Amino acid sequence: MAEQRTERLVVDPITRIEGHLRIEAELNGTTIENAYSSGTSVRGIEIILQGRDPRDAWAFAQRICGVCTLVHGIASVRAVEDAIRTGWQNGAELAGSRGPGREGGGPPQGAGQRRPEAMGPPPGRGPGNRGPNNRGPQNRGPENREQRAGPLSSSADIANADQRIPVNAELIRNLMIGTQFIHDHVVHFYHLHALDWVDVVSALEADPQATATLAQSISPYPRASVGHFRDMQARIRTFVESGQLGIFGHAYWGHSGYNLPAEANLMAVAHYLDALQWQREVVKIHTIFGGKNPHPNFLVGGVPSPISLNSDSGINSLRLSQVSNILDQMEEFVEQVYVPDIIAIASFYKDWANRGEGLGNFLTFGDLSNDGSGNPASFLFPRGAILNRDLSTIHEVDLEDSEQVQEFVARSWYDYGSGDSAGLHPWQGETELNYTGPQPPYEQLNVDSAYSWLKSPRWRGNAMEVGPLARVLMLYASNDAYTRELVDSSLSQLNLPIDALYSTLGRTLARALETQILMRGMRNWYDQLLTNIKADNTDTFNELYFDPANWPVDGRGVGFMEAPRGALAHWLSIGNGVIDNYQCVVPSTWNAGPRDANNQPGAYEAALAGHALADPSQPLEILRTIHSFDPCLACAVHLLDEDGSERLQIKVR
Amino acid sequence: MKKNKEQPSVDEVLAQHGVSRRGFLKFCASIASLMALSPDAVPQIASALSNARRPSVLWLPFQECTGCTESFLRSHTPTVEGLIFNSISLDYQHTIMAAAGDQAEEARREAIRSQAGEYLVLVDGSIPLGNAGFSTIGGQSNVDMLRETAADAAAVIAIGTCAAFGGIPKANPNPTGAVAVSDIITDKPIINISGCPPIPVVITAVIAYYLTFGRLPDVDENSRPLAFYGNSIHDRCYRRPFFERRQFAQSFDDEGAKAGWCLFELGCKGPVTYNACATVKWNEGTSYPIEAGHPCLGCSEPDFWDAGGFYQGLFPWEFYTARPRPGGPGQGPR
Amino acid sequence: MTNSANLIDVKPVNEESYGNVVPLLHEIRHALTRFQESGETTTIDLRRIPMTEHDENQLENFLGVGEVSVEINAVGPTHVFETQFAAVWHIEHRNADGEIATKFIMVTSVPDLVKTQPEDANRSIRALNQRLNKLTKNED
Repeated sequence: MAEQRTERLVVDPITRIEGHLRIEAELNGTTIENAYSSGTSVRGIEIILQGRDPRDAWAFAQRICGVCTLVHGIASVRAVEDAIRTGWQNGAELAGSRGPGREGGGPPQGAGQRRPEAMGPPPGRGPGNRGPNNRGPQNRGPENREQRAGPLSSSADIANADQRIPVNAELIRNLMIGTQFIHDHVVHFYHLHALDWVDVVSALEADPQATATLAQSISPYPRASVGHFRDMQARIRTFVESGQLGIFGHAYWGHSGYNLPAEANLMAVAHYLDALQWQREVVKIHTIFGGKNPHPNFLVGGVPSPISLNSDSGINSLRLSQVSNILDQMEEFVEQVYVPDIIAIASFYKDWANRGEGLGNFLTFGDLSNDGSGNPASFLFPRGAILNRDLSTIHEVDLEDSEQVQEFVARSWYDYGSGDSAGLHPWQGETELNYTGPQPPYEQLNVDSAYSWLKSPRWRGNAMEVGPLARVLMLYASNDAYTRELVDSSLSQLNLPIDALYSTLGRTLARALETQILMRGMRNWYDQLLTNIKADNTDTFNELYFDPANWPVDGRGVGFMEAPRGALAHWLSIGNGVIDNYQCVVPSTWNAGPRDANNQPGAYEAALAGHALADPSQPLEILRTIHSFDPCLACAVHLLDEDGSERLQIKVR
Repeated sequence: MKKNKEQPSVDEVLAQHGVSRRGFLKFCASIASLMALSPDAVPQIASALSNARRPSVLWLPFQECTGCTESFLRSHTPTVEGLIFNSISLDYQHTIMAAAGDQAEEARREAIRSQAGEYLVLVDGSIPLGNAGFSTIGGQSNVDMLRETAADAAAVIAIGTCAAFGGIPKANPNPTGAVAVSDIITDKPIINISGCPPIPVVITAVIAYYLTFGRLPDVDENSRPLAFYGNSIHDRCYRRPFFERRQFAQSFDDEGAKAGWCLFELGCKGPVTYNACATVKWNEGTSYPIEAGHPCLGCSEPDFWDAGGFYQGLFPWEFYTARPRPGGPGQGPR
Repeated sequence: MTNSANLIDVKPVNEESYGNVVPLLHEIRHALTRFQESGETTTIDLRRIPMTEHDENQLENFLGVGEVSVEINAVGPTHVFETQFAAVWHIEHRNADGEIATKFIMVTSVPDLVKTQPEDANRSIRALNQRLNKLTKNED
């Protein structure tokens, strides 16, 4: 056997992502033979959720990630609502049926606190103690609320009650989800991904007039005058000449892999700055409905913002017109800047249409009911699995089936009692922390054994990619007309075949195209919301969900959604009014996870294999592909359970 | 901060960017207002900025969710890409820096070497002490990176409740042994900008203050800037009159909620939470949680995750009603 | 495309006041007296005084608009005007994105911001010299 020269290349930290990611690559010469993806930071939020009030869960879960803020909050409220509703539909025993004298059941005083004393205000502030009447919201109130029932204690009551989350709450959630997607994708391209394709220093050689001509030829976006680009160039020049390059320092400018002409670089840098300004504006939809961004507020049973045209608080006509204006700004930037830039830049990087996708398998859970009904048939993004790039067959996905979703820990810092080569359905999951990596400070991981804080989720034993490419392919394979139009026309502009989608470039393009698809959804949901309000339907909350007396004594639920980075779901079980168990399987775990027991690589690892590096000391090619997945590692790291047992029950709608 | 002759001062940088002296004075007036300084301080601010150079700033991310970085990017006054972006040299920041891997670590180490004693360290996320392998960057544990980087820093700013107080990783049962920055660094000036995340402009205002005066602003007993954490949400909330009149929303979406009544009975922690949400508000003054219908979570307070359920009310009412305060604002017991 | 134009106009239901408008007006009165006696300038930061929207409207209606109005464009727009009370000026700063950053009341003859700054005048001399040189060269 010929001796191979393998070198190990390490890139840590991978920057311009969310969270802590390390890539190690075995090189043959300057080509990557094997790549290893490692999540290097863990927090334990799932453990922290145990014993808490289910109504509080969304706030904890949301802090899994502040870039994809919102997604875990949504999945969490859906999981709790699912557990409650499933209990009703199955005729489960409800907490409130357990005799009189126990007001509503639910979390005992101090639930969620394992320590005996509550944490009061800091010394020197406030009275120091909470009052003894630790009451939650009561079901009393003005008499004009006949239409809402109080606690339900019998199956007969349940059957007669309105069990739905109000359609306006679903529409508002959709608007917030869409806002998150669109904000996230644009910021990802300009502020996280673009510097892999755009050479900032080269912008100094551009001719501002030619830049204006270029910009005006690809889009009607107004900020495209000669003066504008001249000013922009002067700003960059001052910055570069100061010698203090800040975030642009120590980078890879001048690398042979940068293909854009100077004018395109200057235009892109101008748009980078415009996008920074734009992104501050569009998050205001979260602020209006959820109070703040990052980390807007959610609510089990609906949304917290009431609709109230005649009040200065709540969603009134001023707020609605603010939302409408923001939708206009969103659409303008997506249509006039983001998408044209993607096409323009892609045209100079067509060689990246043949690398960067190694699995050929794609998975979606589906989401975004077009009419607020929650019915999967109305989802904007369909559910399914594609294998081996075969778009003629969409496999059905059932999250409950123990043969479908499984997690492996063969190369993860966890132990399974039954042996580390097993793949366990989360329902039978076990997790016990076992850090066997090198003690820091270390130079290399031992990639022949465990090397990551991420688990390896698999579907029917296959490694899967989730995210924009998976969604666009699922839509394309489902013959969605608008998707076909967007995909076919952009590939035609680039003169690339359909197979070009299976690549770094394709994934990046798919992210932009799905932003356009979402924009349509946003208009649709907004119009429906207005229609409902005009018809005097302003409900945003179903309080049946909120009263612990209505919860099943034992219940389990799953909340799923499509997050910007891919399919996401939370599973929880409730016992006696508190969270028993909480489990998240998140998109970046699917994508960034390590090898499984059969040594099959995860999506990142497969995508990097075969990459030729022009200069291994400047890992530009690795960054291009990894960034195309839009990594979110805080989400991805699976979280440890010191008790060593995880009872996960999965119920699927 | 002494002026390095080779580095342009802030006002020279602004002039190079085409900002007139008039524009510079306007900027100083905005800073003064934002930091709750008297308008008489404007000439002092102008003078200080005229002589200040752009300090190197290193942002260390530990057990974080990146929400604090995202909040920083939302700041509109000063804008990230605007004046402050040009007035500091942000030499290490994982989310937006171009360099990765070895080049990123070299950027950090070079700043430490060449700007010793003068660079500013920003931290988000808590630091796990349970096992060095729980959280690493470049093969180095977070605690080692913090100690190494803070050793020659001029000051440390802990951004967000996780860095300031331990935050969510520290919440019961604290699986990784997470602690706050101030539990590890005890020999440097530290300021805590708490919140989950903090309000965008509060982050940049404190940096601007440091840039202007070369020191950190006055703080409360939790080392948070009094300008933003000196009053409770309750004391500045526009719904306070409803609290005093005992007009409470008793359920979400009921008539009281629609009318904008007080959310005390729905679990609002405003009375024991110190932050600027009710005055500065969020995202360019658009709204804040209570105004959008959700009770305050108390997210800028230490250990708020374990302080009782978010929908469990603080009772009794009498503790939080208006009454005379000894010592004035920000001082003494309430 | 949207139907928002058909929705009902909103009037504030809450006319609460913090009660700070009258004390503020007294402060302005004292400042005016000092200005008249000794030429002393006073600046009041409106952001530091708790006011409801109702209060702000009341204040602005009371002070009114006088004879002089100045638009400044430096790092975003700034609107300066003398109120109907001479020497009482209203300054509203907006940032480069057009959002309101700060508001002040100044009691003075002319706010400093309106006047030309010596540093800017120096820069102008240099710029004017350069451009004149160019112009002369072109004529050769």
